[in-house]
Amino acid sequence: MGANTLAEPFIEDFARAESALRAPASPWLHPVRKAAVSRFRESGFPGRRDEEWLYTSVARVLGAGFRSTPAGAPPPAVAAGAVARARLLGAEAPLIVFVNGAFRRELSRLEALPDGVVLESLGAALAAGGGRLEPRFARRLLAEERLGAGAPPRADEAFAALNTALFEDGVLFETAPKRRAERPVEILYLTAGVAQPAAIHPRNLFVIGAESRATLVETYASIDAGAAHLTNALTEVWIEPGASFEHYKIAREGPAAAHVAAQRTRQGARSSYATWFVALGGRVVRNEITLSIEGEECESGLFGIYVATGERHVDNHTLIHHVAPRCHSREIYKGILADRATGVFSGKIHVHQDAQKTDAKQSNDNLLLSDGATANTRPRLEIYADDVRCTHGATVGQLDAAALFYLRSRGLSLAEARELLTRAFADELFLQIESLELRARLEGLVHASLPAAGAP
Amino acid sequence: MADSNRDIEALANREYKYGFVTEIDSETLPRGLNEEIVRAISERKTEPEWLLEWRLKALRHWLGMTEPSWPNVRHPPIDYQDIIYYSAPKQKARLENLDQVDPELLATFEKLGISLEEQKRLSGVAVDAVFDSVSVATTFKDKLAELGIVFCSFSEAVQSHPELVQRYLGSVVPYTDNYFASLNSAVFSDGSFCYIPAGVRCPMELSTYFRINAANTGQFERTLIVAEPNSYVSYLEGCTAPMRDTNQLHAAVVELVALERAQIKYSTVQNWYPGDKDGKGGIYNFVTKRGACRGRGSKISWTQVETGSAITWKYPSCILQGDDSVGEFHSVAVTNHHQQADTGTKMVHIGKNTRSTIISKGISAGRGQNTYRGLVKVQKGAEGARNFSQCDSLLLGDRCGAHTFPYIEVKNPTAKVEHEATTSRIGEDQIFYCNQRGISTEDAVTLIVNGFCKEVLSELPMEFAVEARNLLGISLEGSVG
Amino acid sequence: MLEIKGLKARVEDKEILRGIDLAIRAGEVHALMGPNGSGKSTLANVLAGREDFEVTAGTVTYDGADLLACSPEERARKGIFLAFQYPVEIPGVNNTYFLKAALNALREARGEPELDSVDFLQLVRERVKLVGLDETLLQRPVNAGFSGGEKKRNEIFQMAVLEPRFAILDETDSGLDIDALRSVADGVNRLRSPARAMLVVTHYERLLEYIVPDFVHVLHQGRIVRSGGKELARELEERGYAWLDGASRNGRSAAPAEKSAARKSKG
Repeated sequence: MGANTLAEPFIEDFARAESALRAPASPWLHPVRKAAVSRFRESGFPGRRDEEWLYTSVARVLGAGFRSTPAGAPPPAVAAGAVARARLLGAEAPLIVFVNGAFRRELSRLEALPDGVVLESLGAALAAGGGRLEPRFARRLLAEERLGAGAPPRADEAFAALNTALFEDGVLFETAPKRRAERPVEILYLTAGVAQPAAIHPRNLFVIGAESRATLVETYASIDAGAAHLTNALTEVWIEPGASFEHYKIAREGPAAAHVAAQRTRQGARSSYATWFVALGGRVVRNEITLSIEGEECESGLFGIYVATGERHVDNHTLIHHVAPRCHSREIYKGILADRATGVFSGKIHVHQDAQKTDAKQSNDNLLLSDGATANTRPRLEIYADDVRCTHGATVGQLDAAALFYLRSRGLSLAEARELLTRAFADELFLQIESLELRARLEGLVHASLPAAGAP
Repeated sequence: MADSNRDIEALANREYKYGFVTEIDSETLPRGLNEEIVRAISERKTEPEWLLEWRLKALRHWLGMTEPSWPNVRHPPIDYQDIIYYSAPKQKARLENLDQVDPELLATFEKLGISLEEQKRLSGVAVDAVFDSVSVATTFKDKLAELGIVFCSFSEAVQSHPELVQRYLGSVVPYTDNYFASLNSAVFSDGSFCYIPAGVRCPMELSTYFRINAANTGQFERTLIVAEPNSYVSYLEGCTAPMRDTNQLHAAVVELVALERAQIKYSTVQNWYPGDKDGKGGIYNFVTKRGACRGRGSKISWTQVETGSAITWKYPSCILQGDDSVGEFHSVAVTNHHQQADTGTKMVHIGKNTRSTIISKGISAGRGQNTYRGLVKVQKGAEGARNFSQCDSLLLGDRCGAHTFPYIEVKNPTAKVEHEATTSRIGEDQIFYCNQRGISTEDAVTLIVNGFCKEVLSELPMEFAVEARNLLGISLEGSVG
Repeated sequence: MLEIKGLKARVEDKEILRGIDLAIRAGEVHALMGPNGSGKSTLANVLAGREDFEVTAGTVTYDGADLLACSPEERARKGIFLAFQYPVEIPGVNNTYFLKAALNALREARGEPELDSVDFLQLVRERVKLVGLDETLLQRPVNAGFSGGEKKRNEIFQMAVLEPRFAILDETDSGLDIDALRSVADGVNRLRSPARAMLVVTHYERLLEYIVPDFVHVLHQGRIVRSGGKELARELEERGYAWLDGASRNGRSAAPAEKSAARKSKG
């Protein structure tokens, strides 16, 4: 079986690393890891017919295979300039840096953290006795509990199970109740000096305390552009009642990198949440967001932009569970695809029976800039409540010929006109960002990644 | 709205009008499926060797397949060895005209509102009636023959036009296509065949009425329509079945071939027995329908009004091979009580400047589950392809579900694909507004539902639009609370 | 024609009508005024049979029969018409088709034959002029995409076609500019007749300059606190409703029965 051949090395990785992964101060953790690896062993990776992995092949993600780096490898040297270049925010913003999955205090900037905000190594927190984290860790979403706890392992959760089994470190981000952190904080996951294809499993836990407010930027980047590595990240987010959280994730790893990530968020009553995914790099990217809206009167926004050139493949997979009534969700994903790149959007809105007065809107628009590019889109609505307003829309097309002509008639070259319209397609989305500074920085980043305007 | 709720329940629980059983002598093969049964079916129909071989290949293929699990429907496992695959009304010899048809049978069709006798006098619609597994009567054959149009039962076509059947059978839906199509290919018993010669515009609606009568019987009919260049045909099928408290399987295959600039308009009013209000009984309607636009500028339109069946699983599709060819899909699907429908279409754009339109209206009431599932695929060479899809759901009640699962795959940058979907319900304020103007709750619901489906109903031929409207009323009225 | 006695109604746990007494005879036009939240629209909707409101006490007699026992459509068929404050949009349902269904339901209830399409269209053409409604709106879905003014005109147009015996106009003036108000009022005035009664619910006196009532009632906190002739409307325009609040503030701590007594003595 192909899937088993792919799975075996990860099971070996676990056997090899098992003793090193034990955190004696957090005795509850190891059984969680063991359970995850056994679920993974049972389910294996998703096959080609798995509806949730319809357009992305696991064989393609894993390529020649990735192995965890043995513990105790010497940390690679990273220049401060390289860190600065990978940052989205200015030098003064609090920063936590990981290189090849390991926390690097000397590259981080944690002294500027405001009171009531925790930004630290999750591994260190667990090693120091993470008992208080247990109730927040590797928990199922309310929506999933309702759909049936103790369900058999599912292949589409294989990567998440692997992360739970194998993660070494990641970020613990917490804001105390009522703490209004106005300035954003930043996380950097870098890879450097990777000799063989390496698998890295970053693990994040974000807890946004009741009535608090926070903004976080998370970037994944490769310092050596050609290095092959797999990032398999898992992020759990708890947004407590009345809290407000803005989360920006940027994936801009090198052209040999594979990036698989799952983000699982629960929203408490009257909370507000905006989560951004900006995919600009990597050979294969698969980003999953599962949002469970568990309290009433929440606001949620899922925004994504993916730019792919060459042979790159970007798969955006989102699932919004409207569990509680009177919530409002907006989802907008935009893809710009050139050369022989493939963009995938698969987004589902699931409105549960009690979630009356749900207002959910979802859209996915794709711009195909070259003959060889492909867009696959699957916006899905699954609705079990009657008093709801749900809409979705999807489009695939090229730049508007009339608009191109108009710009050229005003004196722009074809290339300029194409560039302008392509930027405009992307920029429209950034209007959702309130902070002008963040908006400008993200726009700049995306513009720099857009394919050079070629002939039509 | 206590009063209107009562009205609604009364209406929603209205008896299925076509649920009677006809007492008639049938010749029935034993239950179960194996090579012997397939050979026996083929032998009963004195089929040529090649057709038997084709059936057997399909059977062998089917035996190696597993039932699909991806549709968003749930049902207990089907025991394929417990189904009767062939049941035919006994008749002495081949029929020359309607006078030789068993009067019981004619009376049945009369009851269904399809008067075959009338057909002889009235112009407008030519009917082929399929009872259980065989075609019992086709009207207007002679008049159509003058134009070179062949409209007859499938078995008859096998005898009279074997070359056409051999050429096109399985050319759109191969016997390997899917589980139910393979099953059908092995055991299909009859169906309709229709051939429109080049340049001919068929002057009347061609229509087939399908009726399942016998118990424990599956119905596996096969329809094949071939439209030669520059021809036009409008075809309609209607379906009913008796009320029985066991589920019955209907696995049909429809193949359409439209050649250069030919147009086929295929309309379905499907009202198989949906089961009772507790979900007992009803037809499993697992159907494969596909049309190929093979020439430049050919056009295939599917229009369907699906109110019946316990479970519906069908995706009438268009393969747009010819440049400038056009595919359309207009659908109303209603699920009430415990009905489940997983239906939609596939539009495969292969030729240049091919265009497709999808309008889907799903209505869920009671505990009904209604899923739109549609694929729009633009292949690499399909320069300038266009698709527009609009999928709307109407929810009546809080125990039902409406689901929209489009799949859009685009490999050509000049293509333009747009998909939109909305979900709404009938508000109490709308009902009250109608009530205040003197319109009863049930009429208000019919009014609103018909308004919701207007774009699809207007695609139906006039005489069937009326029938479809009434059907919508009966299936649904007022499951509003 | 209509007699309301001791009518109390609530929505969920909130009592909105707290004992209404009102008698309306054929040919009369009554105006019901009062500040926001006084219960004006509730009364209009209770009379039309809206089930969001629960009648907890009192009677309503219409032509000598118990009105409260009737369903909304039975009331409509007995000739009761409510011009909605917020006319409902019904997407997909053609305005003309809707009106024809309504008229024929009423005619059937009156034992009259259905109107055929030709006669119906003639009637529609004639009445559409009466209210100055843009004829193209007839072919659009009911109220869908209509402006606020168009919706209100459409209500009066429907009234002109359905020819009710007792019409309730619920804030028909709200959202109308002066020209629209005048032409809507014009339409209403043409429908005044000795056989027809009207209850005009409004917050402002403005409408009553055009539709001159025979009687004016002031509703406050669920009760009619004052009744009078058309001059009462002008008085309210000058004094506003603040004096009512003053009256109730004085009585706020008192028991409900005493409160009402206190207010009555002041008004």
